[in-house]
Amino acid sequence: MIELLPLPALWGLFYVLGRLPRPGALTFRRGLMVVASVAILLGATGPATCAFYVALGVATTLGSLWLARCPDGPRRRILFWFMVLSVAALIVVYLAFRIYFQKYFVSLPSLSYLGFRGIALLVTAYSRGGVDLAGGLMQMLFMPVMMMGPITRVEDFGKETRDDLEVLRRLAYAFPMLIGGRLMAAHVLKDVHLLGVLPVWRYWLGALANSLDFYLTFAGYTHLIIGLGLLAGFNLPENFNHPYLATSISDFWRRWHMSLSFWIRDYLYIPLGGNRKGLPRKCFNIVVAMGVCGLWHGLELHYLLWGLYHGSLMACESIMTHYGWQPLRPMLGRAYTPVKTGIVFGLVTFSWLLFRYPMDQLGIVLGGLVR
Amino acid sequence: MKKRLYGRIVALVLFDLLVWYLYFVICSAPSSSAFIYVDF
Repeated sequence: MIELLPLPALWGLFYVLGRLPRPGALTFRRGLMVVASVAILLGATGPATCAFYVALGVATTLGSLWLARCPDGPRRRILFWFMVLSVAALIVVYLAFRIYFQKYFVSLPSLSYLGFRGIALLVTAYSRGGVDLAGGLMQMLFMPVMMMGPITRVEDFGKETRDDLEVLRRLAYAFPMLIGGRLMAAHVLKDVHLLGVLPVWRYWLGALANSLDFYLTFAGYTHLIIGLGLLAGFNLPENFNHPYLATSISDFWRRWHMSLSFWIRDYLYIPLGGNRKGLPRKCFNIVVAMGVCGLWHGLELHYLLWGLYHGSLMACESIMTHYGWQPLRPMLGRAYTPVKTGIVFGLVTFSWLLFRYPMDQLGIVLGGLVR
Repeated sequence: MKKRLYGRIVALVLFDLLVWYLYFVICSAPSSSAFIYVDF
């Protein structure tokens, strides 16, 4: 379904729907967009996949409405945990048996993103209430965010916005980035176990291209998604803020796929205790949260390694910050910040190799880099 | 002031149309992006 996002027909449809007369203002707009999203899903994936996805979305929405209206007490708490754990179990089962899911439900949009949005909806309904049917359905079924986020919160659909100049600006960013990503993708090494021995520079070029491809393609599509959201009348959360200019790994995660890192922070890191229980526990929580973040991308060892790598780096940063240890600062003077940015870019570019290659290919690539 | 705004909008629209067209010319083949391979 990702390939639908740049299609002029989709933009035309959203433009027209975003400008239809509004009898019931917000509720009408949200209802209209839910119907359009389901229709697009049906056309793109067929009745079985669409029915499966919509059933999950509707069930979570109805669950959140029930939760919002249920009187406070142990019954409500049990209901909440039952629903959250059911959604979490769905994500785990989906990740474990993704191949089978996608065999029976062709072009199924990511269930793990659906699960993240679902948990956010349930937590909002439990903690603050104020969830309504149209808002809940938008949170679960709004088409542009189905495939790759940003991970919305139900509040994002709480008021209408119109900013056509921003839509034009998003398009102006998106397409050059997507073109750049595609050009970079041509240099990424694929199926390295079949390639034989390559010169060392080719592995380094592949690693750099891989890193740039990830950013340009992901952020490019995100601009399209946010632009489509604005056309529909809603301000979706920002997902990228020049991540490769970050001066630390923690800073990187405040700039890269922000809606995911904020989700991990709010619904995993803080419930684990966050930074409230001392430095060792903080470091442990960071590593666990990032390990889970890694596994969320797939139940495979290289994803876990990727998450633990980021978690360990952030834990090291926390320790250094805690003790005020900045060994490079006196040596580098004014060059300190650019050098730090370069180091973070190098560390992140390395991490994308862990992310990209399964274990059997990862060894070949890492060996090729240092041969 | 208004003239400048309209000029900016027209320039943006033209630029968008150009890069949109270029996207379909350059990226018309099925994706070979490393990112697209990763299905979350």
